[in-house]
Amino acid sequence: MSALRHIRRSYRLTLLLVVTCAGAGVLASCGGGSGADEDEIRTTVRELQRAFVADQPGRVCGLLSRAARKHIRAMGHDLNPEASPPCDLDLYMFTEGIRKSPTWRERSRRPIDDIEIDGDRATAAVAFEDGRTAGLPFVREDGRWRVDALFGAIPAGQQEDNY
Amino acid sequence: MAASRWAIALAVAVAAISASAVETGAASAAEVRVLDTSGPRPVPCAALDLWNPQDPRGGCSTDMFSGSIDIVIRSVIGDMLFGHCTYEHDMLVDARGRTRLLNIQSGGDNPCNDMGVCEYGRRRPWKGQIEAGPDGRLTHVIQACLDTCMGQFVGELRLSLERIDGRWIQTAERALVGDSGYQIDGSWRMRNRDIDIRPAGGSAGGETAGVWRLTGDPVGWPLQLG
Repeated sequence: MSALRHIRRSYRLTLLLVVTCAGAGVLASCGGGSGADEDEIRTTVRELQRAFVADQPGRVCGLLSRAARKHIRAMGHDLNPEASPPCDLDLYMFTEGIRKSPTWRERSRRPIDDIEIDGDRATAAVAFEDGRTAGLPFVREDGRWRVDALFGAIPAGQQEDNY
Repeated sequence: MAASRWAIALAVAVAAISASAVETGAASAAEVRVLDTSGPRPVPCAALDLWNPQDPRGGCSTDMFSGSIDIVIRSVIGDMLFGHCTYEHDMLVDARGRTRLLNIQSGGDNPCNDMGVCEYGRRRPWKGQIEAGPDGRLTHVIQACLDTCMGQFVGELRLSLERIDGRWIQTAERALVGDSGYQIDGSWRMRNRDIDIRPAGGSAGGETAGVWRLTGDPVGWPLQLG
């Protein structure tokens, strides 16, 4: 009888360990971000898309990190950053440029599949219509999540300053 | 007490089996064997000398050149054709399919000329690895880093590699560079025909997978298998 009780205890211990391992795995795959962070990032993406469609570069700039706002200048090939106009004018000029391109396809309703958060940095997976995804980098600045690069996988603050 | 130890061992085994199952699923690619067939007898390509990462040497040497490649930048707000670009690069490959891509040059439309090569802030040759899938198909997996006027695009680029009409061709079919949104659609041809690439340990040629679509190239290709 005592041996049977021992086996039952061992079984419970096994179950506990397996459940603990599985729980740890699930937590690890979540990336450690809170639901509030994820909600804020999703809201920021939606705001960005709406502001872009509404042609409000000032609103778009307000959602970008400092590095991303600075990087907008590189897109316009401004070789004198000190003399550069503010972000909204840079972005306006850039947007005008791409919208004139016959190959530009506006896709302002792309949803976010998944979000990985690591401290003050995060990456949102933007879902394309063909099922593939691209990473959209975020950084937390002044207590808010901000888009850290409109294009490309590398946050603007970590890009080489080649322009 | 013995039962407790058994229980712990079982739990550890369950965890280990789960972990190994994940690894097995991720690593289904097999090694390849790369031979230099320029001499009278095929010999394995030499090892790469990576003492100076900026200037790798050794291996079998070749170069690859593309036709017009469509580059599309995809993003959270939309997609745009970046340009119809051409690329050329030198390539070193060792006997196990490890590669280094050097002297990567781009041309074509105006934006294509604004493209540079990077590696997380340092300019270095790209690293790559040729692998064989379970069906024998070859893939060239490259760690790419492209520096453009719109941003930096970094990540794994997977190109199919096959021999057609006696020439090695690597193809990107709307392939994304990692998860960066940089999409490549086009193919490169290898200038050097004296290289044989095949799955290691497999039956010679992997003909069933359609990898070796050889139509005959008697000059410089003594190891035709198809």
